Amino acid sequence: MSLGNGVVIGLEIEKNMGQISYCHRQMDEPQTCEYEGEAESFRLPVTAYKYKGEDRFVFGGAGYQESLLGTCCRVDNYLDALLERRTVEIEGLEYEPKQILEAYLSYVIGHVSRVCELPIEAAAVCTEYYQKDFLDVLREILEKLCPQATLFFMSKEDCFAYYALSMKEELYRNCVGLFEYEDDKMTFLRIERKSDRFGKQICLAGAKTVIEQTDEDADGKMTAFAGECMQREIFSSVYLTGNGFQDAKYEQFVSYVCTRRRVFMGQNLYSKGACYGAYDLLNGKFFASQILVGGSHILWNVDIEFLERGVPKVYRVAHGGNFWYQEQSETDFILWGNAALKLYFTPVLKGNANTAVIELEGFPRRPDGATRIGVSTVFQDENTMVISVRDKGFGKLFAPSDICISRVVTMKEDTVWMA
Amino acid sequence: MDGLILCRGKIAETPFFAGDIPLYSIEELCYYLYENIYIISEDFFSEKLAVFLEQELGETEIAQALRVLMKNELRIRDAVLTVLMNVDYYPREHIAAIRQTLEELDSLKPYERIKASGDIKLKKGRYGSALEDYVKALEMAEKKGAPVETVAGIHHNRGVAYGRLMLYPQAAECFKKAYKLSANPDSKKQWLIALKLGGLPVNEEIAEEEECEITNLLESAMDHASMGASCQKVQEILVKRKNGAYTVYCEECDNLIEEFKKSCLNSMA
Repeated sequence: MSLGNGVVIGLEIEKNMGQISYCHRQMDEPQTCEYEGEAESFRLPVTAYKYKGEDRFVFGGAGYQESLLGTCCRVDNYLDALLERRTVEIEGLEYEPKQILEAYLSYVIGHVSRVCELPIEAAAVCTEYYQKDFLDVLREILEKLCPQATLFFMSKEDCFAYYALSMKEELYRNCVGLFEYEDDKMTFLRIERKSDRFGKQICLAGAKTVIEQTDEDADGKMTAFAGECMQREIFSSVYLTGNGFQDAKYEQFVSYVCTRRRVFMGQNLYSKGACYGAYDLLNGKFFASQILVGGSHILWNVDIEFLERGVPKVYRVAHGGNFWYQEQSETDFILWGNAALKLYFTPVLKGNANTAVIELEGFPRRPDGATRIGVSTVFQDENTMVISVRDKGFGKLFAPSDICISRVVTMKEDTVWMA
Repeated sequence: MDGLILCRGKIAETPFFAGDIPLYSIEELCYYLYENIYIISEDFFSEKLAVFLEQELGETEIAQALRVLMKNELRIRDAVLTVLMNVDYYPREHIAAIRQTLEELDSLKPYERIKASGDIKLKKGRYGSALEDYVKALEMAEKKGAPVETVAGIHHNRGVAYGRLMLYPQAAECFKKAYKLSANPDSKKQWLIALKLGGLPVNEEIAEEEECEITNLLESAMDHASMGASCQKVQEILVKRKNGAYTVYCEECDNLIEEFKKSCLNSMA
């Protein structure tokens, strides 16, 4: 790998566990951070321990020991509280879960900094909670903890794709599969590469089932699920991950999956995948020419029509293939005549282009060219974009009004709706 | 032309002052140049403007081009077109029109240019500002020994501006000066109208039949006033009150008053 002078970290944050992998220019591949002498696959519980009578949190084994000694009290499920927008009660006092998450991230990131002794150049976050509110909190914390770093926010599917496709080509020449068995929930993810007139695509598709780890026939059920998922397709490699695979042995399932396939088991696919992803996004190599379909990426290009010397042109405000969470734009235009905002929605893959018009009703009438409007776009998920148009006046020549028009645009399958 | 123009430039933190008007963007500069083409002088294109373009807006190429023009004998036409043609703001037809205006202005003397600016403002209903231009133009014209017809023309138009502001004594004085200088019958007619509207005594220089003609003209105008667009609008609104549509009546009254206020403020500007 050839990086800058800093370190790139891949941070996985899940309901109960977190993990960091990192890489820098002296490393051939990412390495997962070790804590307290544990193996590299060890995932650090997000459980916090608060010193009694103090506003101080400690994590990992040290915190657990303190709790046994009675000097600390244990704090679980603060991520749930964060998602539900409520506070956490500890020793009769209300705490913001964001404060506890910040302490946790400060601990794990501080650990990487001490290990690498290098500044953090980029941080890629991988989480199953790929939703705007949660990512906003993570972004705020990371901007504080790693102010110099470029941040990326990825879903688990994205990270797995980055991981699997960063291996030797023979391991992804055909399909690649992933079984994750975590807390009685088994999920399967299939990566398939396609190439057609729309370009090179990396298609992600998944399936889910519930198999209790205590179920006597768990092995049989898992095998049946694997059979359904893999059917008669050719898989170059299959990966197994999750706490369900850590201790128990599922002979029938393993035997089925391993037949004529290369199978790998590990607990750090996502954090390493996040590292690979961040590296690729910084350097724009492998994935730059391919579109990830099915992860957290937008599958539409959104353009606004404008005039250049009187000739109609388009300006792209959303790029298909980018992460929806990080795709936002802020562009200014000058209004000429009775202009309206004309939008073009073009699917990255198959499908027809759609158009929509936003009439600028209620905007003040001013001379031609003397109204500046600010057009901003932000995504709420991969299919939903909010577009806002604000009157900015025209310097001190014409004062701005408070008028702002917002529309929610839903882009799904072959159709675009605007509300 | 209906459409949007993409703003590619920056917004300045420190504006460039065109007189007392702060300009923050290249689009505002273009707009100002276009709207004030008659009063722009060579001094406008200074090193200060070049520095503003370069440092605040990042428009290095335009700044450099202006500097080259400034090194030699700068012509307003070249400088204005350098700015307008390097910015995607005005469409081609506007630039062609302004090129023609600039060519015409090139042949004008400074006081003629200021008069032309006043004339444009007069047409746009900005009477206060037009009056300022006419005062400046008169000062310059007198200093430079301008032809009598030109000075008379400035006085006449100044009278029109005063008349529109209903300042009839001042208007009458201007028309009188214009008439004395040029013996233009139109100036004489306007002088008489201003005197009549201002309730001022009619000068002995004006013949009785001329006075009669003007009196008839004004009376006829008064008779037809109710047919005018403004009166018609008021009458339409009054019909709504009569029919009991009080909400619509109130809204339309407010709109009309707002229109009057705007027009009044514009005329003072």
